[in-house]
Amino acid sequence: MLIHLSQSDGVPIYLQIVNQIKYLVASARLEPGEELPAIRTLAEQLLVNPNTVARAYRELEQAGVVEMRRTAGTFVSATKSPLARKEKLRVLGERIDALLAEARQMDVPIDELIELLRQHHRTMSPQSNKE
Amino acid sequence: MKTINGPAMAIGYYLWLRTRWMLAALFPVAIIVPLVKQRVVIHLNGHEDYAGDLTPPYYPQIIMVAALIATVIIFVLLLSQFCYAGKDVSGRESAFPRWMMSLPIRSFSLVAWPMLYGSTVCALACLLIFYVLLPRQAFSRMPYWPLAAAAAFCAWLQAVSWMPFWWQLARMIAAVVCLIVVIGLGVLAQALEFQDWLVLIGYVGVLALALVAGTQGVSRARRGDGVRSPWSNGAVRKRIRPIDLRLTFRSASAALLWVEMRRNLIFTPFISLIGPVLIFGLCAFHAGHPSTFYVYGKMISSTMIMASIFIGSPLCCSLILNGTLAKFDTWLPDITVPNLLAVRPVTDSKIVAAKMKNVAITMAVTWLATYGLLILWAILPNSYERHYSVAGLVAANFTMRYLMWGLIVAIGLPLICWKFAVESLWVYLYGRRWLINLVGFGTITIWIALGTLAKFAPWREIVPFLPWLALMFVLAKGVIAVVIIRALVDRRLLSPKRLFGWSIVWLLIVLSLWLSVKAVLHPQLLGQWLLAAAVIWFVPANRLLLAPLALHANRHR
Amino acid sequence: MSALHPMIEPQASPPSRADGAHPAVEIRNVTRRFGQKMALDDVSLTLPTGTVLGLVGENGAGKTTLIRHVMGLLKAEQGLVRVFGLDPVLEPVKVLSQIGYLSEEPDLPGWMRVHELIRYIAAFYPTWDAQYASQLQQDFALDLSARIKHLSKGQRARAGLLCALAYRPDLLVLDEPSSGLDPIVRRDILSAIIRTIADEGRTVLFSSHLLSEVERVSDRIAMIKNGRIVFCDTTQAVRDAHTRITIRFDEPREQPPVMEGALMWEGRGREWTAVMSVPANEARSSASALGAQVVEQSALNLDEIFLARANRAGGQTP
Repeated sequence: MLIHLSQSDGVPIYLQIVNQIKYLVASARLEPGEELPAIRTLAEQLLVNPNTVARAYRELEQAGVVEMRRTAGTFVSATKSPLARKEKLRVLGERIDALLAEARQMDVPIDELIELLRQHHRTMSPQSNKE
Repeated sequence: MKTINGPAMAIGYYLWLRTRWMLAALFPVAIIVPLVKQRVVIHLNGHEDYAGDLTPPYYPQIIMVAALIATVIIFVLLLSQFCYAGKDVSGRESAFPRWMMSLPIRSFSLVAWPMLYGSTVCALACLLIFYVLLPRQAFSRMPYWPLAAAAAFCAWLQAVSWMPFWWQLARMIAAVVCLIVVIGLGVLAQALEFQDWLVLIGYVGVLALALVAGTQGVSRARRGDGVRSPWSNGAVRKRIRPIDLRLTFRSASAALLWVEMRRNLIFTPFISLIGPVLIFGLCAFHAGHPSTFYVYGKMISSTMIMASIFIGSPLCCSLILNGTLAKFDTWLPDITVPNLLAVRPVTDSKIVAAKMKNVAITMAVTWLATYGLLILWAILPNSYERHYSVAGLVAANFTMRYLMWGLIVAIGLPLICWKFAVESLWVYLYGRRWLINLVGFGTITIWIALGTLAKFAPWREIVPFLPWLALMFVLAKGVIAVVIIRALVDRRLLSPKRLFGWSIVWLLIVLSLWLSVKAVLHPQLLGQWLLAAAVIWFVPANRLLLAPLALHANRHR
Repeated sequence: MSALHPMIEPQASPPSRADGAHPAVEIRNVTRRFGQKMALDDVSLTLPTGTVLGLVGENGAGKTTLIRHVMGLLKAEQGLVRVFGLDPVLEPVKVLSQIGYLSEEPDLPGWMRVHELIRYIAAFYPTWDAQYASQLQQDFALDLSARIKHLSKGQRARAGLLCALAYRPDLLVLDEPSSGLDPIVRRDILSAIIRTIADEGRTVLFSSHLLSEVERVSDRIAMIKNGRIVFCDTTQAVRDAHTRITIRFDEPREQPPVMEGALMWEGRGREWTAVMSVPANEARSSASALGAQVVEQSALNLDEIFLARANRAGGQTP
């Protein structure tokens, strides 16, 4: 599993792991039901403290992206849990605020921004051409 | 800040920094000793000079011997400083400091300046030694070649230290060879009655050779070669047997002893025996020299000189080098406990026990080798004494009594060397340079003081008090033992069970030694209780107990 | 950086011998002087079992002195040092048999061969795992018949690491283990730390200048400056307690503004950037109290925190 950690931009490591796993799930490189590496294995692979990986996995579980089954491992969620949906929309709302603020500073109009969104969406999921 | 110009001044400054304390220590000797000589001799003899022979009073000689010992020690220290000593002397690599090798100075200058300073200072130190040793008239009639020999030896010692060698330990052998050659040349010249100026020119030639050899050595060291012999192909030799990592030591003590023996076993035998072996090789098959010498009015044959060199060399080496066996590695100058040993789960008592075992083994090896050499020398036909061997001489005068005494001495010498070595371990184990210097010079001072007091003291008045003094001494030893044992138990270095066991062993040794000496000795010479006190003094206890304490203080600072 | 490192399959390692009653390392009010210099000034530190503590500080701040106290190489002049509840000076056998030590100093004697070294060290530890040692030796590609003085610096570090790991110590103490080593060896050392901590109940104490490594691997971070502990907290708490904030004033200023907890100021005119030792919301409220507008605010990584802290005269943060 390809996870890239960068230490220069001030984002905590567990958050980077969380974000990247979310990205992998969202871009279908991690299929629903697929097993994630064990905490210890991922820690040794990335050379980070196992507690950091454990925290990332817990956050992912709270967000509903993965489910941790005792003694069996950690698996990508098959279904999207509705309880977490509000949480997801809240997080996305924060990202959108930041994106809009930057776009305003850069003087990019909202229509162009929406077009940019669609472009990236197409690149991410080439098989679904529906919007 | 003043700056220094030129390599000459810079090297001189560097050597000054390294040797200033030793040079300072020589000053008192140069000034005090002649004064003492003057005052004491005038006071006792009524006139200024003494004939220099062994007639009473003896203490001018005692003071002189003491000052001589101090000066010789300082001389040796100075030599080691001028050779830039500090690295593994037994190794193959040059001892020349790496940082100096990368300076933009020609090898010739790097070598010439230290040699110049070194040989000058050594010649002056040698002059001082003779000034201290000889009476004034003898001093003024002294030949010059010993000074030149000292200068030449210093230069050759520097050259030998700075040369890379193809084999381990070759450097030490080369150093002893240089010593013998340099001194031998002078003795030869004197015997053949060459003129003084001719001898001096000869020594200047020897100095020049040293300069050439030294420059060559440093150049080779700078290039990085000289450490591998030309016939070794430089490839790592493949082991035929695969290394099995499952082979282990039986215990931690076995591992400790293995390291001790690996680094500290060969040192004493090697140093003790280089001299005797070389002299044996030189003299055993050589003919035509006068066979007797007269020293202070007594006749000494060359046989006796040879025998005393063979016995004296290991004895002196064990006595002088005894403390260095306390180092983790006798070939290196560190006196601190290396991390490799300090972080192991092993008590200081175990480490000291391993050291004491190693000292026993090394003394056994030294003396067995010495006896072997002695027997070999005795068997060979001796060209000095008109072609009969020393063994034949001994066989002709054989008695059981001589054999018994011979055996006692043969077993006693290694034991005494072991005792002295093990008793001085604590000084080096403590790991502080000031203690080593203090004990070293302090011991010499105490012996001088005792020697002088012994001649001044009114013996007849003291004799009745001797038993009380002996008793006080035994009590003092006991009190000190209790203090040390308390400290050991506090630091968990000694368990009560072991304490009990070792006390019993010590008492048994004291008892058996007392009884056996009492059986052999005349009762009039020494009363039995005084003998007991002497035996208690002799058998080591306190200094052995101090050793783990000292190591503890070194390991946990 | 992808997962190309060939990892050893973790074997079932024996459970830790340390009981849970005592913290792995406890240092209380330790003071130490070397002549005039105060190397440690009333230092107190606790390392719970099962955590990784990263010790950071400038050269000469007191890290090595502290670590030597833990190993029993230095006796505490004042205060006490306890490792697994025992005094390392009085009980060297019990304490040191559970500690694996690696330091940046060239500890290994040059004349020994690698297999001799391994055999020597193995003799002291009843828990020595010969199979694990053999595995490590193959992974590190150590030449058993080579003399240590002929090994490169990285190989020497690996040999030292093997000797510190093979008996599966409960506490791993590393004193600037990565200094001067190439990235591959550094990786080996970091993996060793993580493998140790992943085994239940084992603890790691290490000091390093490579703050990125410290940040990745430590549960707690302690910073020493001039012999005093500046902070000792979990990694996340340390990050949360510091922030970088850029504020903008209406009028240009010549001097940087005075704000509580600011460590370092940069900027000129109307915009000023500060590295602050207070959490983000406190920084924002201080800025608005001054009447300035917050333009940008971001988190800091450990390197930047360290640099900012090192500039100031240190003291214990409340």
